[in-house]
Amino acid sequence: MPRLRQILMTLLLFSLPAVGFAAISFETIEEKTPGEQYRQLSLLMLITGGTDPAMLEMLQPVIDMQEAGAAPAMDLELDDYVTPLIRIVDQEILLGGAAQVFRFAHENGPEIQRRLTRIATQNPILISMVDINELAADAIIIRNSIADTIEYTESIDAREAAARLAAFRSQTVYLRNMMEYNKFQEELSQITNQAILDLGGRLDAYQRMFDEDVDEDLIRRRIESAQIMNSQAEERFKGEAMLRNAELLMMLILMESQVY
Amino acid sequence: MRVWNKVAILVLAVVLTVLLGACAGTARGTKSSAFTGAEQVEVTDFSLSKADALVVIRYPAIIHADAEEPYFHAFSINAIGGEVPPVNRTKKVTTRIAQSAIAKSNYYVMSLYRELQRELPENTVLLSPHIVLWDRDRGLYSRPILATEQIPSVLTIDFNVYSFPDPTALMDSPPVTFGDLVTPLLVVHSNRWMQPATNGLILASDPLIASSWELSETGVQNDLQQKFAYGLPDWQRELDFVHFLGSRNPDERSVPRKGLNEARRELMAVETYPVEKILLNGDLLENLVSDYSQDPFVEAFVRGAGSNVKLLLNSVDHDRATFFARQQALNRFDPELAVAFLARSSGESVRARLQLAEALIEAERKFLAAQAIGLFDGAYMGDYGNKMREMIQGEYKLLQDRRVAARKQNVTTAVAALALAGSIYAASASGAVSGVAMQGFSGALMLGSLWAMSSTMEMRADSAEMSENFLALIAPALERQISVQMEWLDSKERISALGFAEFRNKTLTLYQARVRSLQGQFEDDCLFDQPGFRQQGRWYGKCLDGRADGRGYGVIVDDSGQSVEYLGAAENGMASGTGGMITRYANQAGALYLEGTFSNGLPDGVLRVEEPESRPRTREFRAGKDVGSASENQLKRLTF
Repeated sequence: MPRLRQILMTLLLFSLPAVGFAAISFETIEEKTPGEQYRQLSLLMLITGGTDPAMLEMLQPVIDMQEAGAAPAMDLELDDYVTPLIRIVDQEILLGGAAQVFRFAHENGPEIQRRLTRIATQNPILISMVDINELAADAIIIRNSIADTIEYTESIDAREAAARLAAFRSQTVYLRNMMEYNKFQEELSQITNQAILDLGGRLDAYQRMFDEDVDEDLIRRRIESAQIMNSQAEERFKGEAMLRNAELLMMLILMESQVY
Repeated sequence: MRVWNKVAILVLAVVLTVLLGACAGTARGTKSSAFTGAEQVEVTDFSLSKADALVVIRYPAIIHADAEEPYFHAFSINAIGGEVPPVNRTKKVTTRIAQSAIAKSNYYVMSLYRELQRELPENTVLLSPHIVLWDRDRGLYSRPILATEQIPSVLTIDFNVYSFPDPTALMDSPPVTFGDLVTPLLVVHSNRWMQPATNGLILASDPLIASSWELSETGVQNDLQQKFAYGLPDWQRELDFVHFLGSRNPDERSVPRKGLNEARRELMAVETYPVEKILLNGDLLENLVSDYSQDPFVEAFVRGAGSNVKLLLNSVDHDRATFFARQQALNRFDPELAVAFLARSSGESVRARLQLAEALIEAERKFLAAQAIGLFDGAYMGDYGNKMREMIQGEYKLLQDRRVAARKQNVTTAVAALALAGSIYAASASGAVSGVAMQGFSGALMLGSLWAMSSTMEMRADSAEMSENFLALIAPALERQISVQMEWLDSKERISALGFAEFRNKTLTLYQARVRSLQGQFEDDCLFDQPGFRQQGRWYGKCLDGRADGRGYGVIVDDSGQSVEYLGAAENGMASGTGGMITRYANQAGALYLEGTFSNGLPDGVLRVEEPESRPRTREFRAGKDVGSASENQLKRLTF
């Protein structure tokens, strides 16, 4: 069994991009497309959102061991954390990567948020299609795998970690609940708007039974409205992109506002 | 003989003078409402909950056929502004005036709605039209047509207009709603926790104050009994005006009152709004039909009253005002969460579920707000509104004619004009609406009176030759239009009810599919004790060994009618820690409210004290004994 694990590890090491230990940086992110940049930065913020800076202190033994060459080191990209491969990666490697992510996010939080807003402003159509809930779902998987790993890593002081870990897990539950609330709210809004439209439609239909003449003026006005709406499509995308961005930022603000 | 002639002439002159004065008096109203002059304010809503409405406006909309006779009877015997002689009570004219009160309330309430809706955040002003009903057990009562009153609201306003039922007494200048004269009746109330000393009753028109007080008291008793016995809420506050009509000579009580806009604003008493016959701006009524961009009722009354409402909204804690209404709304579809809500648990599972539940109530509010806009469109912007404006403009021209005649001191013409004004209400019902609208509800009442008035006008016009303009304004084929409108209103109610039922079904299914289990133990039947009460009470919230322990809500109602309710922290079955307590004694009007720290069920520490006819004050208590005044910044307030 340990032999099989070693083989898998070797395979994994070859399969992952080797771009050095300090893999997360604005330079590496800037190489990606704007949509991917937005996704990566959002994910980064959602993974680290609302966490106590002391989490870094807790992970310090792992970082020290890696720097001293006492633990295996490997670059992990954020997306790697949501693949099944992460389950066979060495705990120290995973936590080493996590420590990088936390440090980067804590040091560059305001700049990341500025970049998110700038990308959304410059690419409204692209960003209007980003599903924040999918990002949150990925962030939850990553946060859980980090929390589980901390719990079972011997080099981390279990007594010290317990309270911080509990806080980190409750933050993750909070993120999950927000994600579920967003989905619920979306469906609820659809039902509500449809019900209001149906109600108006039924009453209009009833009213029309008594109107002998077709209201040509009304039809003309509706056609004009449709034309105006089409010409405003670009504006609408802009609005939606900023809405998505605001949704993400709101999630982050709410997570930050939770007590550690 | 000459002396007798002189005396006769003198007497005649005096009679004429009095008569003319009275005629002029009949047509007079106040240009400046008691609400006028209220400062312009913008409402800031700091409430944590997004589920609540800010204002719900209730009004009489339609009347069931079975309730017609009892309503007419009640309207004539419980007249405001005088006594109707028994012989005049059963006259057709009286019933027409009673009908017109409903028809015109439907129209004028929309001015209030529009003004508040324009000023307050979107979807926070809702309409609750009521149907007037009668049955052998309850007598005359009303119930809401829509589900609006299930939505928690900071304030609830009852609105209707009023006309004295006996036109023969018009000379005595009673309250009327005719032409440029409008007599509004108002009641503003909220949940009892908003102003416990007055059971949540904030403002009432003078004649309604006793019956409104009675309704608020009954509401409190029912709610306490329901919570004490863990029953389902089965009491619905009828319209205060309908309760007033249905309860002749309500018990004379010492209701704590204060004048409108008094300097003693903080006094824990009900603001009394005098009966006002508001005079609308004639210039705006001249061409009301073609130009109603400036609403004369808004200018004369609604703007001031609206500012008063907004001031009130700014001065109260919205979360406190809606706390129990939100709990009741939750109880309707998630009783487990409703108990956890009373415990004000800060656990994530409660917060997340509450967020979903409040979103559900918010969606219902949005739906009901759309219904309110539909009602407004129909009753103000649509055919009904147009017909009402034609009617009001016509009435105004008629009154103006009479005023001109009175000014010329042409007694004969003046009296004839007055008689004509009164006779507008005296139409026969032969021209009333037929068709689908008549099947269930007596929808004819709402617009039938309108029709009846116009046919009377036609009938009288030939002889009086004074209503030419009025007749020209009342369009031909009015009957068909009214009939269509009635069918539309009737169907609107059915369609709306159907739409809401479907909507609620869908949203509840979504909610049930999405909720997660609650973590934590919240009980609904633990013991709660209070010194001075022999009986034990019921506790909802956190418990230890079957006794109140932690945060929650306790209530005791004893056999003598004395009650106590407490929201806050408890220990060993009694109030201990920060909380708010309302105590009611059987022989006292209103309630005593204490908020601050308690120990073993007794006030202990610094507390805020609110009681009827006093200003709120901050006092220090030791083991239940008041030991002197204290500073407000030492006070630990209860957070809702």
